[in-house]
Parts: sequence; C-alpha cells; structure tokens
Amino acid sequence: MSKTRWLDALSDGTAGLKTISSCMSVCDLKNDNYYKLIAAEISFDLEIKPRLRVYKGTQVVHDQNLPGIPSAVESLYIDETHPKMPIVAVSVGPSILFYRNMKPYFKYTVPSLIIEPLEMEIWKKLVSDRSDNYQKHIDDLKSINTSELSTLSQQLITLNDDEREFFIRDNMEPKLERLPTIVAMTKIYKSIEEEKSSNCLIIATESSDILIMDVQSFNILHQARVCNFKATPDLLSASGSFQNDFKIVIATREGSLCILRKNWLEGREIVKLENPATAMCLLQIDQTIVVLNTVLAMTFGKLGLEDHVLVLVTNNGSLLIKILKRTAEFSEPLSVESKTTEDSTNMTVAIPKKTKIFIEQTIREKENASAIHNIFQSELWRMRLEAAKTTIDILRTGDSTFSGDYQTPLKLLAQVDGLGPDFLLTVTLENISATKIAGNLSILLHADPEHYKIKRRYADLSPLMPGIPLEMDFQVSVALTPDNLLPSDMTTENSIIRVLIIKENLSKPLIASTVVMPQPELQLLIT
Amino acid sequence: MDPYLKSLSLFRRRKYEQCIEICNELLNNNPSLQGPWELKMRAMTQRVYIDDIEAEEDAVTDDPMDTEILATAPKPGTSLRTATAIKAGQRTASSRPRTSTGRPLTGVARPGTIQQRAGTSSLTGNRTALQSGRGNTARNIRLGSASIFSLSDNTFNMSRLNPSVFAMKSTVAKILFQVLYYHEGDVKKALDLCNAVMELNKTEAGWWWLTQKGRCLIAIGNARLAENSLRSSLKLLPHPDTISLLARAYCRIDQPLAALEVCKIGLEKLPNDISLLKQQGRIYELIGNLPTSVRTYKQIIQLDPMNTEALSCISVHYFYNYQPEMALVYYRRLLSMGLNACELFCNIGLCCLYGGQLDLVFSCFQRALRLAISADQKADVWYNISFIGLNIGDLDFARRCLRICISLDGGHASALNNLGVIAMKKENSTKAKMYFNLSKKLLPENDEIKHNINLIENKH
Repeated sequence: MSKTRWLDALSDGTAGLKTISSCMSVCDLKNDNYYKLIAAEISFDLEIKPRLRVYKGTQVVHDQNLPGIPSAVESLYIDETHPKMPIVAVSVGPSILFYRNMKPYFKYTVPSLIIEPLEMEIWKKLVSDRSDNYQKHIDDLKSINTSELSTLSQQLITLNDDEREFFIRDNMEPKLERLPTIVAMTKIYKSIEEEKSSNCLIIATESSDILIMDVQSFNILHQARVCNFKATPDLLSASGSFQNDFKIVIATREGSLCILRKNWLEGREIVKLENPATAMCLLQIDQTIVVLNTVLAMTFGKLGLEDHVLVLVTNNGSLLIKILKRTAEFSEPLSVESKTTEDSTNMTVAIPKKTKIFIEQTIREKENASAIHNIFQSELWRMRLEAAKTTIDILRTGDSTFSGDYQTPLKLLAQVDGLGPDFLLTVTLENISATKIAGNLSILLHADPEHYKIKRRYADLSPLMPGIPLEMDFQVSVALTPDNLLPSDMTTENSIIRVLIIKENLSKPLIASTVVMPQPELQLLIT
Repeated sequence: MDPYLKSLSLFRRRKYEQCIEICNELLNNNPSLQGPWELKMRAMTQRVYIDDIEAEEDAVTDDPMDTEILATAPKPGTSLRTATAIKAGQRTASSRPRTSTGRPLTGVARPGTIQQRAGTSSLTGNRTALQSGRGNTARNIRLGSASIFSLSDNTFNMSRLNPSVFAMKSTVAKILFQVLYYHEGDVKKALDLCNAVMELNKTEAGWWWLTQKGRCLIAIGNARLAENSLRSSLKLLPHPDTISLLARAYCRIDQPLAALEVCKIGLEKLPNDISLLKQQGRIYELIGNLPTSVRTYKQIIQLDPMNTEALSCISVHYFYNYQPEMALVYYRRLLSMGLNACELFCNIGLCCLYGGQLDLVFSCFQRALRLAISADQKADVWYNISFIGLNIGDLDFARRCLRICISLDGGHASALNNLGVIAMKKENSTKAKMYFNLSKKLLPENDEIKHNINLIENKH
C-alpha cells in the first residue's frame, strides 16, 4: 500500500548536492506555475565557496556564489503587485541577502547589540597604551562572557600572542560591533492568508531575539525574546498572518520548545525535551520512506507542476524527488469494531457555558465549605432516620407490593381489565427469592360488599417456585343498584380492593396491597 | 340586602357554593325567575371550570377503531408518533428523560381531561395494576369530573332537556351550553344544543357557536369535522381560543406541522398572543424540537415574566442541559411568585444537589415531603431523594428510598430499574434481573431498561 502512494520522480546519485533542510526552499520563481527548488550548496570543504542553485525539475538552471556560509534560505513575496515574483532571502552571518530574479537586490544586516562599557574601555586602553602590556588587558577582556563580546574582541582573544600586536595595530580605530548571527528564518503571511500573498520574514538570531521584518520596507515590525531564560533558537516554524494572529514555534538548542504569539514580547516554554530537536516540521502524513543513505536534508511542497513533492538530499550528495500520488489515501478504512470504540472515545461531553451564577455559587461553596458540609451531614442523618421510619411503617402494614418478610420474599402485580361494571382482576404473584420455595400461602380479596361483588374471595396457593410467576384471575363486578346506578356512597376515592397474601401460622399478612378500581363506564351500559 | 344581589356579589367573590344555595332558595320560592336560574348555572360552571385548551394534550394513541389514520410510516418530524425516533441521535434531547409514551418530559403537568398515565386505570395510592387494555373509552367523558361535586339538587334534569327549545333563547343558550359541557360533562347533549342553535340561525349563528361545536367535536374524537367548523369560525373572527382548538384538532389527527402552521398564521393576526405562543411551544416539545420550544417559551417570558408554564419548561431545559444553577434561577422565580408545591421544592432540591448547594438540598426535600399529599407525589419525592444516596455512595439509603417509592407506587418503573442497578452493584444478579424484568413490563419501550437487561444477560 505504501509503495503505491509515492512516485519516484528522480533519484540522481550524482547531483553532488550537500545542503541542510533550512537551506532548501521551493517556489514559483518565474511566476510560470512551475515550481523550482532553490538550495544552497554547502560544501564541507571550507575552501569551496557555498553556492546557491536553482533546480527546474531535475536540471540546474541557475548557479551562483554566496559570500559566506548560509544558515537559511527562504523564498517570499514582498508585495501584492503582479506579476507575482518571489524574492529569495539567504541569511549569511548577521546579514540577509535578498535576490530578485536571482540578482542581488538588497542586503540587510541586523542591528548591533549593546557593547559592554568595560570592553570599550579596554579597547581604548589597548589602543592608547603603547606599552606592550597587552596580556593584562586581554585577561580583562576574557573576564567578560564570550558571547557578550564583540566580534573584534573575540577574534583578538583567539589569536596567538605574537599576532595580537599586529591585530591591534590594524584596528587602531576599533569599530566595536556585536552583530548577532542569524540562525533560522521562516515566513508568515502579512495580512491575507493566501498562497502568493505578501509575507513577513521571521528571523531568529543567536542572541535569542525573534525579529519580524516587513520585507517591503525592510523595517523590523516586532521584536521579541525567545524565552524568559537563556535559550538559543535553532529551528523555527510559524503559521498565521502578522495582522491577524500568528504562532511561532521555536525549538532551542537547550531542548525546549517555545511558542510566541502576536503582541507577546517574550515566548513561553511549552515543552522541555531531553535532547535538542533536530528537525521540526508540520507533519501532514505518517509514512515511512526507505532511502539507502542517511538523509541530510528534506523539504516538502509544490515542485514543478505537482502539488505534493518530497525532496530528499542524502549525505553522499544524492538528490531524490518523490511525488505523492494525487490519489493517495492516508486515512485507513476503519473496521466496524474500531469505529464503535472511536465513537465512544471521541464523544465529547457537552460542557455547558460557565454562567455567572455558577461561578458565584462556586465561590459560596468554597467560602462556606465546612458549614455546608456540616449541615449536609446532619440533615442526611435526619433523612436516613425518616427513611427508616417510613420503611418500618410500610413493613408493619404490609402496604406494599413487595413482601417484607425475609423468609418469603414475594412480589405482587395486579391488572384490571374490562370496562365495567364487570372487571377481571389478574393478580400475578412471583417468588423473588433465589433458592427458597414459598409454600403455605393463600390469597384473600377484601372489598366493601356494598360496592363490589367478588366471585371468589379466597384461594389457597400452590407452593411458589423461585422465578416462576403465578397468575390468577378474579371476577369482580360493581354492585349496581336495581336501576343500574353506582352505589350512592361509592366515590373514586373508596373504590378499592385490598389484596392480602397470607402465610399459614402468621398473624399478619405478608402483603396487603391496594388495587384502585377504575370507574365503570355506565354510559355504555345505558346505550 | 336583596338575596339576588347578594348572590351576585357572592358569584363575583367566587363563593360559588353559597351563591348556588341562595339561588336554590330563590328558585324554590319562585321557579320562574330567570335571573337566579342563569346565575346558578354560571356558578355551577365556574366551580368546576377547567380551561380545556390548557388541559393536557392526549397522546396520539393507536385507536384500533380509528379508521382515519393516513400514514403508517410518516416522514420524520411530521408526526407525534415518531418524535422519539427523530431525536434519538441528538444528544441534547436524548438526555432528557421521556414519558411512558416516549416523548421528552415537559416542564409542567397540566390538568388532564382523563387519567394522566395512559391506561393505568385511575390508580391512586398503592398502584398495583399494570397497563390495562382499556384504550380510549374514557377519553371523551368527564372534563371537569363534576360528578365529585354531586350536589343534592333536582332543580333541573339535564337528560330530559330539549335542545331546540333552549336554542331560541339566545341569552340562556350559551350559559346552558357551558353547564352541559363543563358541569355535566355531557358533550353529546352540548353538541346537540350547538347544532340546534345553528340550524335555527343558519349562517347568523356567529363564531362562538362554531367554535363551541368544534370544541365538542374534538371532545368526542371527530377532529376532522371539528376542523371544518373551526375553520369557518376563524373566517368570522380570529379568536385565540379557536386557533388553539384548531391546532389541537390537528394534533389529534397527528398533523403537528399543520397545527404549527395554524399557530403561525394566528400569530400574524394576533402578534404576541401568549396562549398561541404557548400552544406553539407545546407542539414543538411534542415533536421533539426542544431548542425551538425553549426559544418560544423564552419569548413568552419576555411578554409575561410570571408565566408558570414557560418558566417551568425553561428550567427543565436548563436542568437537563447540565446547567442546574440556571434552572434554579427560574425555579426560584416560581417560588417567589408564591407557588408552594411539592414538585417545585423537589425540583429545587435536585437543582441544589447537582449545582453543589448541598446545605439546601435536604431542607427542600423535607418541605417537598411535607407538601406531598397523594401517594404519587410522595413516591416521586422519595425517588428523587434516592439520588442523594446514589450520589454520596450510600447505596443502602438509596435502596431504602426506592423501596418506599415502590411501596407507594407499584408502577414506578424507573425506581424498579434503579433498584435493579443497585442489586447489580451488590452482585445479586437474580434480584437485579427480577427488577429489570418488572420495570420492563411497565415501560416496555424504555432503552435504558433494555440495555440493563442485555447487560445482565450477557454477563451471565
């Protein structure tokens, strides 16, 4: 299945491309809807200058030198004018080189950081002091944290003793600058979140600053710290647009992941990883691709005429291009079983809105917790007592459909059929004990003889097996007056029949239930 | 004071019994006086008067003798019968418990024209009878159950009354109709009177008689004829009563959408009429469209902040949507309106329990118990108290409450079901099975009970 999803478009073992993920970018360089791969070639041999290459399909169409080792390559759109031509930004040291139509367009250097006053003083002394006592001053310089020294001082420290004098002489008018190196770049949309709409460039520097730059005017729009503690950014990932809302996730060399949102002056740490992250990418797919050599760099995006292309560069310089099939299906067909579990786990509990009253009540609960608890507990005992009392009453009168006797637990059900004045009373008696047989039982129907005529008032019952209900029918008719009227003192309240279940040798009935009889439909009798 | 004036004053002060007594005296002295006659009839009607438009809508029951059933498998949302099926998938509605006929519980219990519980043959107290197959024979009789107040008076014998004679006396006819309909509960005779009046006056009979005819026809179950009569009455005057009755007629023949349409048209003519809005809210509730129903009730609250039905329905909605604190607000408003009922305190207690206001829970339930008069009410209160036991984990207390509930009302299926669950927790599966089977007999359509039975049967 996995093999069918990818098409191997190119596997060029002789490409000789050595690069890193952040130095690869895909864009529609000529606005002809044919996406090209821009990659900075970084040789491990320092003698060979790094180069910026553009691949159209599999062919190198452009190749030019870069002034230094690049740290990131990004392609972006600077304005909304047509034709939409992207510019390519390459960060080299503290500067960003912008290329338009692959021609140098602008060079931007990030602003210098504050120079330590002590360092300035030392340099003054170094320059003015003609004595050869450099060593003391250099030791003073070493007392300052290396990362807070200017590049000049850093160079001085690393030099041999005999070279230092020349170095100082060469720099008699020292221009002390602390330019932070750019470590990573990414882009967000400026306002409209559409493909090929104008972007803002996000720059992460060695000095833990995140700069958001307007690439039209090359102004810094927003500056923020990566985190509230020392954390050097390493990788950047961003989404959203500058004017609405954006999120920047920063992976640091110290191993933490920080998030920076709009208007924040400082990022917040969200995850602390044990080891620094080596690559960060918004994953759309979950797939394993087997490549023969170690992958050095990869990027994913539009290339050529395809929408989803994965570009891989391995450590022996091979360039692999893999196209994701347009028909590739990544959601697996769920089996019926997993679907049901999915449903139950995905079922979100409808949590209602927190109302003001709810919060007020919660506050009240918090403040008077002990008092509420005490009242509840004492009232609970009172209610338990009341329940127990009522239960005893019910047991005493047997006025229940359940028998309260533990020896013979029974359940009685009654059903009245008929329109009247003749009714059929069906009594169902069930032994609800698990094992015991209930024997020696009899049933008695008790009613006002002025109101009801019952054919059979009394019956001895056969022993009841557990779980097998016994049904009995009784014919009951209303004692009508000679002219077919209800007995005068009969009302809805007193038209009842009491059903008693009696056990031999027991003075009180097991069940004394009341069946309320329906009013007979005398109209039917008349008409 | 002149006895007639005195009786008039008594009538206005709603002292109907005394008013009738004075009228009786007057009539004994001189049976030909028309004033006391009319007054007496009105007093008798007023004493037992129940606004039958406000009365509980009967469930659309499958009447084997009804030959006018059209569709046996109606489209979803168009029938009251399928209301359950539509809403089963929606979470908001499914959380609300259903009545024995499967419709979502409503917030108020309105006085019923017949027994509230379908088929349970008027069992009060220790209800042991199961559903009996009595069907709808009692449907059309005894609106206000006037027979309870059978006064010993033989001044007139309604059964020997000749409608065509009274039809000519226009002033008496209306009063007589009301006596026949509300006091005597003799719908047939009332209908005869309507017909007689209309025959006499032909087209000039007026909207009132057409509406009353429709009312009688609905009562005797002939909703289709009622529709014609009510429609022609509406042409003369769009009275809210007529519209409500027409909506009810459509509900009877299971056409809730037509009923809603009638209400909608009525509301265009009579905007913000509360009785029509209420009718609309009820029908939405019946067909299971709870959000719209609640919206309608909220509209009523805007117009009439003291409307009990709307307040109760909204609070029920909030309660079953996990916002007991909001429900409590509405119940407290009902309480401050002076409603002092067992059910209200029971509901407030439940709201307090689920809203975490534990100190008030028991005082509410104790008050509810004290106010509970009928065994049904007591059973319900004890059933609800059992939830405190279930919530604090005191299963014995919960079981005891449920047993009390069962002994008060043998047909309380939910209590039996809960007893079964408690028995299951205590690993007494035979007992649990027995309880579940019993409750299934009482509520055969309930999904929870079915589920429990499946659970216990698969376990063993």
